[in-house]
Amino acid sequence: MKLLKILLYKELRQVFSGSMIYIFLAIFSFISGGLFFGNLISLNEVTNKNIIDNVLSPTFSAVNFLLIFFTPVLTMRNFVDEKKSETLNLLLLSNLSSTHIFLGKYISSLIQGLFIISTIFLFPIILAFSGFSDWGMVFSYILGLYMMFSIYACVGTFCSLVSKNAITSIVICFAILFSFMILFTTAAMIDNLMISQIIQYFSFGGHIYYFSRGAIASFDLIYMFSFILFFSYTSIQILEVKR
Amino acid sequence: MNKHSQYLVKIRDLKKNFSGKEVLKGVDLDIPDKGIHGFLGVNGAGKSTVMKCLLRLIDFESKEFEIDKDLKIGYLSENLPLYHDLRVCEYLQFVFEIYSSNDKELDLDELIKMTNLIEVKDQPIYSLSKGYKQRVALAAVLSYEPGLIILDEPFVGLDPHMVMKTKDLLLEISKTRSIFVSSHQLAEIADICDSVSILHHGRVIENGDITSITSKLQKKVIIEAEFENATDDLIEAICEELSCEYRKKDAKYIFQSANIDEFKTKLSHAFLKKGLIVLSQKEVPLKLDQLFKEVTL
Repeated sequence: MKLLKILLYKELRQVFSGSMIYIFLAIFSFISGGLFFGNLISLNEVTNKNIIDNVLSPTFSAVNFLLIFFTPVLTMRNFVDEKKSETLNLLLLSNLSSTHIFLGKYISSLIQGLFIISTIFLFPIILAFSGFSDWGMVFSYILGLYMMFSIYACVGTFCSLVSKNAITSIVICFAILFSFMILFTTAAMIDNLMISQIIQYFSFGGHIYYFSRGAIASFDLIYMFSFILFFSYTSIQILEVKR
Repeated sequence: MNKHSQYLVKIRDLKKNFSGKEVLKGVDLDIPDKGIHGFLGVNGAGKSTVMKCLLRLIDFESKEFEIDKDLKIGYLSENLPLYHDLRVCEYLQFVFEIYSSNDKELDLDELIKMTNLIEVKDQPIYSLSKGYKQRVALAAVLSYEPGLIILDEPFVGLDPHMVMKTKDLLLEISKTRSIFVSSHQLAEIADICDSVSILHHGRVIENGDITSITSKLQKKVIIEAEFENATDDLIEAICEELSCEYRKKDAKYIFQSANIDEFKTKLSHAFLKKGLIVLSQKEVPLKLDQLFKEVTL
């Protein structure tokens, strides 16, 4: 645990002392803020239901899509930079285990994601001045978004580990994330209900729905944790092979 | 490995294939427990592969591979493993913490003083010169006190001043631990190494101290002499008599012969016989670069 803390502290020190994360934050806030503003000005009547259906839901849904583009770029350097500067061997030869190394990188990405995603809390806070009060839905939707980000970040960290350069990492990660995203649309086109439902279960799209309605479903959590576990385990095994 | 053993590492018949190509064909290597051991070889000879095997970064086959399991190995690759956005002291502290196996605190001040990094200790690594970066990386390795330090091309890209400083530092460190240096800069290796191994086509063709390897492989003897009364005709006559070659360098004559055993004595007799007054006479030892050229070409 002590070693993980040391690595995590180093990662965060590097990330937050650089400019990349703040540029990310600025771009993310600008786009998500623009989406929120666009949805808000088109609102005719201010009621809780109206705000949820016509402002927050479309904004958060677009943020989820935005994260598919942002996360590969955010996580691309996790291992690519280490390989480029030969510091991966420095970590592999140390007392850090492969699990420490992976978790150090992954948790650092999760904290960066938390830092960026937390800015969308501003939207319901702004709406609260007009009487909006459905905080349960807001918290569950943002939790859902954060859980989705956790999956994206895990895939991104894995891609960074298997790629030789940052561009390859982004392309592979985006390809994986986008494939799982469009599975939802593919499922809708299949006539066989059982196959359609299986495909739908594997897609990302179906697993944010209940969060967006203010509910946390166990099968969504199982799906998300399974996804994270699969990519974490695979990454740790790859690091073990590299040792 | 036996703690009283003279050698820290003993490897016999080390073999490694990459996609069917035999890179190491049976390397035998002994690394002494103190001092600096040079590792020489042309590009592609397999030096980096041997180093990776020592660090167990890759799989390999060997008949004997003796390294004390408690031995800490510090490794410094040619591309220095540095986090450029960290400050020097942060980097050293980080490396110490992930490598140190006990609760001992790092004496950062002492380490910085020893490696002469006082003036840059609070600077970010990206702002340092190549020479300082080299020192930071070396300081990081020293922080966790390894028994064996493996250095890959430590002098590349350094100016002569930094080369000298690095050599002094390595000589100081080698008093208490073993250093294994791979380098193409033979003059630097000859200056600091107590022993060398020469790797060629995947095999160690020579292993031992420089003087003994040199004398073993010396195929010719070179004698430099200065006279008070020499003429080129006299010297030519001597060379004809002894079947040797000569060239003139300033006021000195340099004689060269393949007759290693008797040439020196015969040459002295010839000088006397011709009435030459010798001001100075010495045997020129073969330099490491000449030796390397002879055995690898």
